[in-house]
Amino acid sequence: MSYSPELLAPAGSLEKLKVAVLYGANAVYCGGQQFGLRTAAENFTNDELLEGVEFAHARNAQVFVVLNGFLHDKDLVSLPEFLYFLEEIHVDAVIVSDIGVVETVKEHTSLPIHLSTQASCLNVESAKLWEKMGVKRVILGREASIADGALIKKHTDLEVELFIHGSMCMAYSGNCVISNYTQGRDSNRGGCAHSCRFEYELENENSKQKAYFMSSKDLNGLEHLELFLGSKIDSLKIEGRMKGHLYAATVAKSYSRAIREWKETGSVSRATLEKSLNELNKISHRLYTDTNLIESSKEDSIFDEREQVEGKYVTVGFVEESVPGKHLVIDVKKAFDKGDTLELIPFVSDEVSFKAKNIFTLNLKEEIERTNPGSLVKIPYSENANRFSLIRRKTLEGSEVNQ
Amino acid sequence: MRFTSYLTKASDLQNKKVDNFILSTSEFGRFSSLATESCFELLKTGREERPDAKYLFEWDCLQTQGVFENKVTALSEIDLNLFDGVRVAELGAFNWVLENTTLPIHLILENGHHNLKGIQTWEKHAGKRLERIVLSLELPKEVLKKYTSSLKTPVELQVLGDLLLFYSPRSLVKNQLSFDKDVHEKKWYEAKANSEESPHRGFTLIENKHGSFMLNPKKQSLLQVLDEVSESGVKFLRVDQRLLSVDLNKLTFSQENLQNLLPNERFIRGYFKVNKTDKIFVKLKNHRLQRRDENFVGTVVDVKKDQYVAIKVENQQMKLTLNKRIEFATPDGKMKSMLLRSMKNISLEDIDSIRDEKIILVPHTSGVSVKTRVNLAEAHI
Ligand code: SF4
Repeated sequence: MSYSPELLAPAGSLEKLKVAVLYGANAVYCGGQQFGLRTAAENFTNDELLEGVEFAHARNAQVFVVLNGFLHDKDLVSLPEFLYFLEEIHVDAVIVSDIGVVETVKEHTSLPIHLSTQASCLNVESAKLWEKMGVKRVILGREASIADGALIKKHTDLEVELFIHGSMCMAYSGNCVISNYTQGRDSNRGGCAHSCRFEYELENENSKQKAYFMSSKDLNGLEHLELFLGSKIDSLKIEGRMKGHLYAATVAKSYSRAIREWKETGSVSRATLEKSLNELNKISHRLYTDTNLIESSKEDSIFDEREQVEGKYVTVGFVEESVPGKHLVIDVKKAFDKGDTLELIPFVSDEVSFKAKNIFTLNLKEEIERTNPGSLVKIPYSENANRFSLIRRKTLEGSEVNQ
Repeated sequence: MRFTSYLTKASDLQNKKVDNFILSTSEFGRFSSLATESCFELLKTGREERPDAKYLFEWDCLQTQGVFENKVTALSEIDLNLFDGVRVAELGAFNWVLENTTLPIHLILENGHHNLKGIQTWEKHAGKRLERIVLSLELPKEVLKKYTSSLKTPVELQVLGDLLLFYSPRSLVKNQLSFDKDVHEKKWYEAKANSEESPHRGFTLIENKHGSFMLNPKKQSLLQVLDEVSESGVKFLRVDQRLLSVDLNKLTFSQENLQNLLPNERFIRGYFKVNKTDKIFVKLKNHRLQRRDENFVGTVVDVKKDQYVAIKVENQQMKLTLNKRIEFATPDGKMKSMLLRSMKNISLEDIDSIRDEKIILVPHTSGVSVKTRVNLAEAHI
């Protein structure tokens, strides 16, 4: 079968699912109301899951649902009902980390099972075992390299999924229970308090110092994309269900642009890489690292700074409706002023800079000087704008939170 | 009561209450500093001095493919058959031992594995080769009781030792502080850590060839409730003295004795009595459990006082037409209703029903704010 790489993007909400798909992801993963690890993410209601699947399938994209908590006995009792629902709405696979959940899925449905990174599958022997247990795909632990992924493909019939972009858990996945003992929250069932991002005072008999010693830089594997693709890694995964719309759009667009070029020409040009890297640098992120993809982590993979959530751009909103030649309706996420220079991010083509010359209420009766987040406004039509196109502007001086 | 413990020096063999000794080398064990040679010497001494005891080889480190291959090479140079069994924690190691040896297996399921179904699946898979299952410290006694009575394989639980909070393959400690030369030679770095952003102090950090570890400030001890542990059906009680700076042969396995030997240590029982770590989990999850009802039309996305309410239509199946009554359910729980006398599309054209409009404007209604849910009222009647 010919190789067709999958770009798998996070969908923290229905809106973000749509954004990710429209900006080039050909698969998304999302969580229902229970059984996953992202307690704080705006998980999907069943209705939203249905709408998400229909939206994605209509655009040839797949939807995987995350059930990757280490579930307790009582969780398994209510799981089958949810599984029947997922099968009924034609979800493409479920992402599972617990062997009890694997068995439950197999018993009640024929849904394909993807082994979550949370199971820390890191070597061929482990992959072989999971293959015997009936999983179709392994999402390798973040410590695995591209070469490890290729080797697992060679020795098994499994599909291999590898992280290419996003935040990294510092621990072997599933091997951190700091939150359980310090906050009374089960980190393996959605309660992680991100204690690894805290500052600590370290001390031994010789010295003392304050440090962010257990926080990881963010993964950025764009430079190694050709190696991913040359190694026929089935799925290139982007982390970040908790991140915002701009992140979802920028990362999906940046990687899909490069993958598209690879599919068309067999390689990715430096110019395309630079363009995508440039965009990835504009979103909020910790310093980037390519750790583990080629070589195992070194000291320089630690992000030894206070967390910052400042990007170079903020999302001011997205296009809720586009009436060509007339106007755009913008769902305002962050305030912007009349006269501000904004940038439209089309799904495929280059960003378009324009001035918000006039801003109106929806009934065009009032002109607005400054928009309010959470409101809808009309601005003049701009080329290449479609429903769900994002609009951003440069960050103002000082800090502006955005992801 | 019989105990399982680590054999780190010959004098450990004198503790007659221990009849299962775990041997772990620095190559294969997360917290072992024993060289391979010393491991085999101890095994020999053990066989001579305590022939009644069992000797088990432990391979509990996690490993990526390259490291795994090195381990397999190292295993080809030692005779595993000299041991009475192999203890494994990582599933790759489990599979390798299953397929490449005939030794009894002790499967360490301390990480995760909080449902019986999963544990039984591994039990079934390993079949007769499985001699013991090591269960998680997060399982309270009632759950342990249920599991031990349903499993065919005897269960082990740690009753004294450290609580491992975090295990990373990365080097996180060595370069942060200044260490003496001998520490660098041993490649075993220890430090204490106090959180600057939470009240938690006194975590132990260890870095060795397997990576970096964080341990809970308080040690775990169930010595005061050993009867209850036994009652829960646990057959093997493990004492991990390796990081406790206490001689195994001085331990009588009473809390009093322990506290005398380690007066400065503080001990907790962990989750043996009760585990409530999912309480917050349930609380955090519930707030969006409600399903939309079948009359759901959409959500209010913009309001202009005395002018309009903009509704984002999210249920295209809902045939909203003029002269129907709609209900507004505001975020603060109030209900409002309105007879739909006019409706405009986004181009401000009057419409009498929704076709594929994404946003519609309806007359302003006081008290309705953004995020108000809009339902069709008639269907209720
Ligand atoms: S605290 Fe950090 S290392 Fe631990 S689970 Fe959370 S993200 Fe991972």
